[in-house]
Amino acid sequence: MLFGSSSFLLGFLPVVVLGAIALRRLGGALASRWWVLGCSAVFYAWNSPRHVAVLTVSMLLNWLLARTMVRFQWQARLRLLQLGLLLNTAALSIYKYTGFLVTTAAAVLHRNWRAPAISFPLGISFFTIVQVMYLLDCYEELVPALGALDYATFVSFFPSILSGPLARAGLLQPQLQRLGGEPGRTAEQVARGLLQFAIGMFKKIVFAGAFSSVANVGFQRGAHLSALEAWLCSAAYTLQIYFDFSGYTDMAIGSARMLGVELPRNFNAPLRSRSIIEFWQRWHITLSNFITTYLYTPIVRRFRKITLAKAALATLLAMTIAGLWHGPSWNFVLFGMMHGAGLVVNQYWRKKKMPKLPGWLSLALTLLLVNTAFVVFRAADLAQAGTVLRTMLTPHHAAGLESLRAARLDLSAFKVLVAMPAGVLAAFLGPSSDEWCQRWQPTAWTALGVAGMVMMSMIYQIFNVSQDFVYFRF
Amino acid sequence: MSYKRWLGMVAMVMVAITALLAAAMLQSIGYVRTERFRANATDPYLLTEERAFHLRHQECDVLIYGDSTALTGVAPQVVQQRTGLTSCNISVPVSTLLVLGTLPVDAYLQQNRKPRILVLQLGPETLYLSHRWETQAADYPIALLLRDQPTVRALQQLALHPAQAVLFFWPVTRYRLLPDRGKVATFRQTFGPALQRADQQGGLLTLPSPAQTACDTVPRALASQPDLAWLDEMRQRYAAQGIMVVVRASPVPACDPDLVRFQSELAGHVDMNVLPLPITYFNDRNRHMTAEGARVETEQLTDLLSSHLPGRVNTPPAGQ
Repeated sequence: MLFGSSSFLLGFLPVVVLGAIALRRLGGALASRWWVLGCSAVFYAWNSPRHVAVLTVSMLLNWLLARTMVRFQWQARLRLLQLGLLLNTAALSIYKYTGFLVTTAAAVLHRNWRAPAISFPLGISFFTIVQVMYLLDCYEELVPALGALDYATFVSFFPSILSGPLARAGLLQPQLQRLGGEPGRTAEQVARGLLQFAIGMFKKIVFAGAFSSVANVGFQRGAHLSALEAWLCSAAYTLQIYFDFSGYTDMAIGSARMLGVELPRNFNAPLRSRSIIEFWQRWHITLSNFITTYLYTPIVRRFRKITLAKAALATLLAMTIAGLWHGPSWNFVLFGMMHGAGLVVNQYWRKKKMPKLPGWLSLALTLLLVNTAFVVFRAADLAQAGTVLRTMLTPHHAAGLESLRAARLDLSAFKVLVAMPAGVLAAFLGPSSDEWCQRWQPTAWTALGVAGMVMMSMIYQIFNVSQDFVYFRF
Repeated sequence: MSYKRWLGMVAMVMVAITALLAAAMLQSIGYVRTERFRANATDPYLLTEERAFHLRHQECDVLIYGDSTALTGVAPQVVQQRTGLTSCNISVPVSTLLVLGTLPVDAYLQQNRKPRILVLQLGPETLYLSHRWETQAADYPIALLLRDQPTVRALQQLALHPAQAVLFFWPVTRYRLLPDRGKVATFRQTFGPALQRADQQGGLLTLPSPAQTACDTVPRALASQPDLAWLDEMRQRYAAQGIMVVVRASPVPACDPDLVRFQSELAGHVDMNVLPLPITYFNDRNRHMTAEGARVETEQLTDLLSSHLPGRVNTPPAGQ
């Protein structure tokens, strides 16, 4: 039951929202909180039925740890925090990285070890991070230890549990008291939520779907592409993942808003960034904040005296960890390292007050790094990434389009003439989803526009079997 | 405009569009079940996929079932000529095979004598494809369900796969409202004789297309591994009914870029692995056979059958 599916849009979401509003009015805030918790459990069980127990145990352990930790001071408090971090890292490692570690060790030691088949609980990367942030915030006394109902509702909140945005307890917990809408503002919140949901659905299904047609072929036929085709396919993937992930995030934010909860912003037109630092301030913003606050800063604090070289080392290390967080593969490690290196150069450039580059050149260089890193990110393995990257740099047969033609691409006139150009314009020139939502007024035209976007996305989804959400892999 | 009125208007527009689509779908169901739907169809696979449901009291020793590579590649007359075994070809388009499985075989078994051998012949790439409705062009299976299965079962499947239902009914509705008579006339002229011959030839369909001269140069986009579990399940099911199941991966052109991959990955899982044939034996998509290609391909199959049924195979006529 993905966000864009008809079962979610026409069944689950209206039932949850109307139920929460009705219960809020009839039974108060507590009733609507129980309702949303129950619906979140159904949502998770529907998508990952075998792992409900994993989520439950994870929540129970972290909740108990936090409740115990806040009763202690100093060393005991620190020990409990360390235990929590260890348990969360261990759980994430077992479920996500066992196979990776075993196959890597087998390759290094020339052993014929086979990785155990451990199925992957959906959203584990996200609900683990959210709980780690909660433990650290409790340790720092930034938030109080939550009650069981509040904590379970916060962690399992269905709009954000599978793929974020990563919301801190301090932001979400007060809002959970208002589940089902604020009195007098319920219709407005539902309307604004529906608008953002519709924008996200359109981005994910229409735009990302159109670009995926080209991107998929590129990565399946790497060595047979011309340089032009390789560039087109890699650019198509960059746009696909942007619309896919930001569209999904818009749907998550929109769903939460319909329930009266404001999730943090996660994207802000990142492909318009003129530096890698700016890119990470606009791309997956909540993850960037996590990296900065919970990875980079603690690493830097370990150094007695901070120098540019030490800051660079901390950046590289934090981004490599963040890369690995995306998935158990060397591709993701390299992806993180590439961005880390880009950030280091960017930091050095700023600190040394090097000459400012023209805007177009900064944009082009940023896009070049982002695009190249996404080739590594998308490829099945490092060998495939190398193949595509080599093809991009091969002058021989540079401008042919034979491979894309031979692939019998599913490219309708609508995709080529409407969806793709509109997607490129939206990514590079148009306002972000949040800007759209801020400017929005409830008029007959906007009502037609929203209904049109939802229906068109649904029909488009039917006529073009859309791709699985790429971030579900993580 | 108030927020409540705005929400009401959004809901009204969405309900109106949905109702329009639903009405179009419902009125199309009756049309699909008429002979007019068949008469106006311009797809040879749509017109041949129902064969298994219409055969009565046949006594085929060898039943050939598979995707379009079997439909265009296995000649029942050649099987009989070379083995003395009567045979019928009830193959269907690949999407029907993938989502409906052996429904046509079971329909055949209900109305005809049980065959001794069931040959399941599939294009090698078929073994890499998903069996989910969501990944198939569902026109063929939906048409088959609506025309040849009880209404309740057909509607049940449509309800389970609403996206595919819309995808099917939308063009059907459009075509019913705006029929392209010129296209139908051209189709009948081009494909009519081939379809008639298919009935006379025990189900072998030879498309009226010229022989191909070149292969695709790049490998197909396929899953990383073939899905072979369902073959074992099918073998067991029909073996329990006393029917021997022989699985064959269809031949491909010798110049096919995937040939080596298919041969290595399917080895040991099929009774007859992919064999290379000259490209001139193919006349469509590097997979569908000319009449000559079908003869050669069927001869290869009879060699396999002779190894399964020793002493039951005729000596090939002199000169062949």
